[in-house]
Amino acid sequence: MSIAQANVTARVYSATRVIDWRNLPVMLVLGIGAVFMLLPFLWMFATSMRPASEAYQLPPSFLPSRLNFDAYAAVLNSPLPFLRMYLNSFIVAAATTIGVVVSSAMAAFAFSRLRFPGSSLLFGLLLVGLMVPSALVVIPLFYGMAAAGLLDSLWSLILPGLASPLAIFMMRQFMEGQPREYEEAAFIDGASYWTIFWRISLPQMGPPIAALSIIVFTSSWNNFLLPLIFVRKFDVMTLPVGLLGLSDSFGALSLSVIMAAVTMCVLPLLVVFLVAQRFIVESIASTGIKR
Amino acid sequence: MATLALRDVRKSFGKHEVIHGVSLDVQDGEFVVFVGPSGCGKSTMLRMIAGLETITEGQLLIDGALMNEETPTRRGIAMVFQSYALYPNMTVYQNMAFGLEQAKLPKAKIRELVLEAARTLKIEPLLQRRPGQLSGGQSQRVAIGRSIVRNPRIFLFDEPLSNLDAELRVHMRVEIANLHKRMGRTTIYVTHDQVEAMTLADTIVVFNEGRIEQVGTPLELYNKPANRFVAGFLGSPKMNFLPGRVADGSVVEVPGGRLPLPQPARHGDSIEIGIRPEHLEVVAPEGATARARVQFTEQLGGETFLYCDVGETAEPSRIVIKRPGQQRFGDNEVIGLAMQPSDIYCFDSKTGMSLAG
Repeated sequence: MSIAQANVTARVYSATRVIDWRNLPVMLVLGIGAVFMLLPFLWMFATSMRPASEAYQLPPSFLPSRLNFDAYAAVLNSPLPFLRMYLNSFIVAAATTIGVVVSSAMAAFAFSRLRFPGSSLLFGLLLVGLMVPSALVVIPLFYGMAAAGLLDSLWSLILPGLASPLAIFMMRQFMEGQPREYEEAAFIDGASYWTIFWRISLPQMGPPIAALSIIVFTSSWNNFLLPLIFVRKFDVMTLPVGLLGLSDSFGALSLSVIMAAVTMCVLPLLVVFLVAQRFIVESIASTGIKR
Repeated sequence: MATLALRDVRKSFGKHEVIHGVSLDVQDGEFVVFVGPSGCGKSTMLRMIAGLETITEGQLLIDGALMNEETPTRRGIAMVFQSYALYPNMTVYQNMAFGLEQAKLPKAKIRELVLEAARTLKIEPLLQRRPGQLSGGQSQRVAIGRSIVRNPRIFLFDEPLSNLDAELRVHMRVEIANLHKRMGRTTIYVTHDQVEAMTLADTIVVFNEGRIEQVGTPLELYNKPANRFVAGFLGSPKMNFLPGRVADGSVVEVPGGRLPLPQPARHGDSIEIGIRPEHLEVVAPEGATARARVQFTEQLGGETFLYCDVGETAEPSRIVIKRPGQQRFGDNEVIGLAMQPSDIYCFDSKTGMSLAG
């Protein structure tokens, strides 16, 4: 059999595997579910593209009669610094993501690979942190930020998110599933702990780092509570609270403008999610499973 | 080149002691194989020598210097792991160069040493590949290359062939033997495969439950096992054991007959008799001093294994007989057994220690 023939056979084989008509009822149910999941996005996008007068029409239509970008122009020309808030959101989400990835990868390495007295106790305490609702720490954090003079600055939004017990737990579980021999071989090769972490362990953490980055970036991008409490000025505001301000300044009649702003907010997340969703599934599937 | 000595080495995990005072001397250039069943402590011992586990008590001396607290690099050891442990994010070249980079050698020197080791192991064409693109045998060669490139004083191998298929295992075994002959470095090799132990070792150390049972050359251990455990561990199929009672000074009664004793014993003593399957001969049952009933036969082409019951009791003892060539026996056929008295081993039935002088 030639290579070309083998490829064709492999393709046909995989195609028959994917479309298994015996699973038709399951696929139908999942398909309907997927459509329902997409409807709000579709409605959001369609509403942002139609004039305000059409936004509330009954019966509702999902597709606009003509494409209209006025609402997007209104968002960009609004009295609120929308682009500044966009940039703020990006800075906070990116800084938080980098911070969480670095801190959790290093902590995971320490908990999983180094032996030091009290490591189990420390890890247990860390897990206790998972059980504390974030709303509970907001007030103490507020006083802390006020005392440090960080209110009304991006630092007040970045610093509280830099270490995450969940992220450490997730990364540590991934490392536990990886063979220790790599690090041991590097130790025998004379590498320092930092070299072992940086050149051996970290490159293997690609899938959980990708998944964690997406999760942290998304939750930081969507964070509403911290900016609502810690920030009052619009030029250091992030998008979720900024949208609220937009809604206040345009009033309820401007649904198209709000939806245009929301569409612009969601777009980066949607793109990131579509590109990297594979990593999330891979990482979650691999954590906790010993190979 | 180095000597290695263990002085009453102990290892505990919490309150649980797993190595109970091991002492051993390894000569310069010697190939020592640690064997024993799973969980006997041989790998833990190797990891303590490597510096991957702390030594709870006792001393590890390399060339006479105490090494308990030293790093693996200071000990001058290199280790080949069972899983190869090749860094997956690096090429073969980078894998082999990694240890030399840590030693801060100049790039040109690193290149020279890596290429030399690659030539020795015939892995030059693989240098730019990543571990994921290598076969099992190639990975093993690269793992060995990574260890020899650093020119260590002592090589440690932790079951390096157990992930390979049977044919490749034989091939790599010969390569490791040749490599040792060429380099002449002190080597400690852990395996549970007694064929590897018998073929590679200058000295075999048999471990059991965290203790050394016996140290000796392969043939010493095969011919003069110190106890029942060593006798049963070395040899394939394993030695047959039968309970016996000394009838008079030179004969012992066992299930299925009476056997001559290789050395005098006290009348009435309970002892355990050991006979290797290859030392049992099949003779006509009439007039034979011992008899057995064939239960089933395994034909391997070049040799035949007979699984037989001895003793006409409700729970007969099972023995294995290994005969050369192709021999046919019917199920339930009664056969006679013969052997040389010198091939019979006697063990104390309580302590398991050999009764040979």
